[in-house]
Amino acid sequence: MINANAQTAMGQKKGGLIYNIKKYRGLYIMFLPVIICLTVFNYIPMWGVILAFKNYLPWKGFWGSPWAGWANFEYIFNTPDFPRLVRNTILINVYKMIWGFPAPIILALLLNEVRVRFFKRTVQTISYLPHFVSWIVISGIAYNLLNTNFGIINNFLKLLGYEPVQWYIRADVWRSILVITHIWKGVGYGSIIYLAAISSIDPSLYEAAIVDGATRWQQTWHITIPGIMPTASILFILGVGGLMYGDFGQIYALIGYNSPLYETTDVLDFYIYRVGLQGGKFSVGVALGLFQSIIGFFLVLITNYLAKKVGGEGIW
Amino acid sequence: MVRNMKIRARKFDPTSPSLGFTIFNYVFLTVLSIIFILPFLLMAAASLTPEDEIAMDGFKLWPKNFTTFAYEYLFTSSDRFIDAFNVTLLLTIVGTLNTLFWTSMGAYVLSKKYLPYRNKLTMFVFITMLFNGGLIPFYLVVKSLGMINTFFALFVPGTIAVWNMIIIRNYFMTIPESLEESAKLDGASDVMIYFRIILPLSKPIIATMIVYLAVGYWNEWYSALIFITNNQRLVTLQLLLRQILSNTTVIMSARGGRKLVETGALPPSESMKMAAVMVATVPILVVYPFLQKYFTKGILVGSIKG
Repeated sequence: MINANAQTAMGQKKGGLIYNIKKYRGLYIMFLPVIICLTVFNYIPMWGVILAFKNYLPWKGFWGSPWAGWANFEYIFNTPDFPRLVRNTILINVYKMIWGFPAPIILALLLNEVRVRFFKRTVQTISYLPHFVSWIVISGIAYNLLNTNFGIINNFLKLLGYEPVQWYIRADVWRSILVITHIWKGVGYGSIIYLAAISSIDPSLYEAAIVDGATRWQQTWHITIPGIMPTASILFILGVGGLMYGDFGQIYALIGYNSPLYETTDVLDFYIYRVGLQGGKFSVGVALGLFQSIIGFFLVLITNYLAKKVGGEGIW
Repeated sequence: MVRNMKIRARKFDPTSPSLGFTIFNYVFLTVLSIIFILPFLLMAAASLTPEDEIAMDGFKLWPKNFTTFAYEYLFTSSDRFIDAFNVTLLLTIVGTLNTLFWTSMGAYVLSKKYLPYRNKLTMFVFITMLFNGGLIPFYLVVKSLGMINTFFALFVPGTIAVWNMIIIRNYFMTIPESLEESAKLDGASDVMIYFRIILPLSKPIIATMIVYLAVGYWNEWYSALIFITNNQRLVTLQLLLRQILSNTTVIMSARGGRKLVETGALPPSESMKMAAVMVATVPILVVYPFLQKYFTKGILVGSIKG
């Protein structure tokens, strides 16, 4: 006891900032590049959201540009594109959640029932593959399948005696295509985390259930699914937090500047790039970005609260 | 041993899934696997189809004749594709080494439990995963550093890969501290301990990170899209591929035209699009077995739980 007290006293005397930095300077120097890089490329841009309240003029710079108050926000809330952008961003994400959130869970549960190890490993390996190709490559796949004159799907339709479909001007089908490609790309990789959660469930729970005569389905329903709920809950909260963020890579690669499809597919992130960066309306772009983060932040707060309320796991 | 027996007990228990379900499950997963792999085979087939066959019947599962003309034309018609290929290769090497070097060194520091302010440093890193300033402030920072339209814009902003850093840190934390204590007594510096002791012990995670980062840099197009505004020679392969998919004329040239006259072939525009996709994809398929090793070793899984 006395010894411990003496140590804390000594620690206080010796444990000052300067003393510590000197003593561990080797490690701190090794960490310096991380601090510099993250400050420059992450923290300074965070500070840059102040531009949402300025009228950024490139020739006057960050400090020299005049303050604009809420003008940028008034501009975005009054622009006729805004309701469409918000609607598309939210709807595409909601559809992705409805179809895409359960998909990796179901895949993991099905894989978990496979007893032939070689088969299981092969399916897993193949299902992860789309995660590692870029959205651009997937846009090539889409082109191969959907092209009006040469596409495989239209060939198939012609073969069956149907009229070919002009996919690239049909705005009504693209939300579904975005959801399908999203699931195709991510479902295998997404199942990894659930397989990990399943493998960490205590095997004695299953044994007890078997002793009680539980069927395989009952075991899944009462042990496996509750066992992966905490993981699912956290991923769900994070997913809801991203409700206002469109998948820029997916939209840019699959839709690009194909304006007939904007009605159903134009999302905030692509608009920020197109109008904010390319169109030179920097401050408007920053204001939209800030709008996204604020909504995202509150959505996480609310879902986290609700998840805890219904007995699930929160992220804090 | 006990675990094994338990698994066996489960395997033969009378409550195993019904035969009907098992058959459904195997059939379903097989169909699913085909859906994941078929598009790649379709593109490979299309890239090897003669252009006149595509003009006649469209893309198909199996061409009547095979030709590599689209690939030849792609690489020889103009320098753009070769340039993009070289830039991407260079970016993959430089970017991977740069990110790995600084990120893993940072991860080592964060793995030292005795380091004062370690939690504060971890928070400093972690916060960047939750919040960001968005595209435009990021662009303006890179611009103010004079990196627009330079090769640096493609890899310097990605020097620290935060998520990978946390995975590497978790791996470093499993290395017993006693290993470096004797080196410390001999007066070795932290940097020396890191390079001589820790890194050689961490080959699995370093190897997997190399493959992981390399795939990321090979697929890079976002930074090229944003930061390369008027320097054609720095357009990465994936971004050029996007341009080719919308319009093949970006890589057609007088040289390519002469080639067409010599061979009497049609401009291979459709097959060339597919050939370009294949060139962008095949390297990933080649390193994929190494990636797979990464999952089977459970490194990622361990890091998620950790």
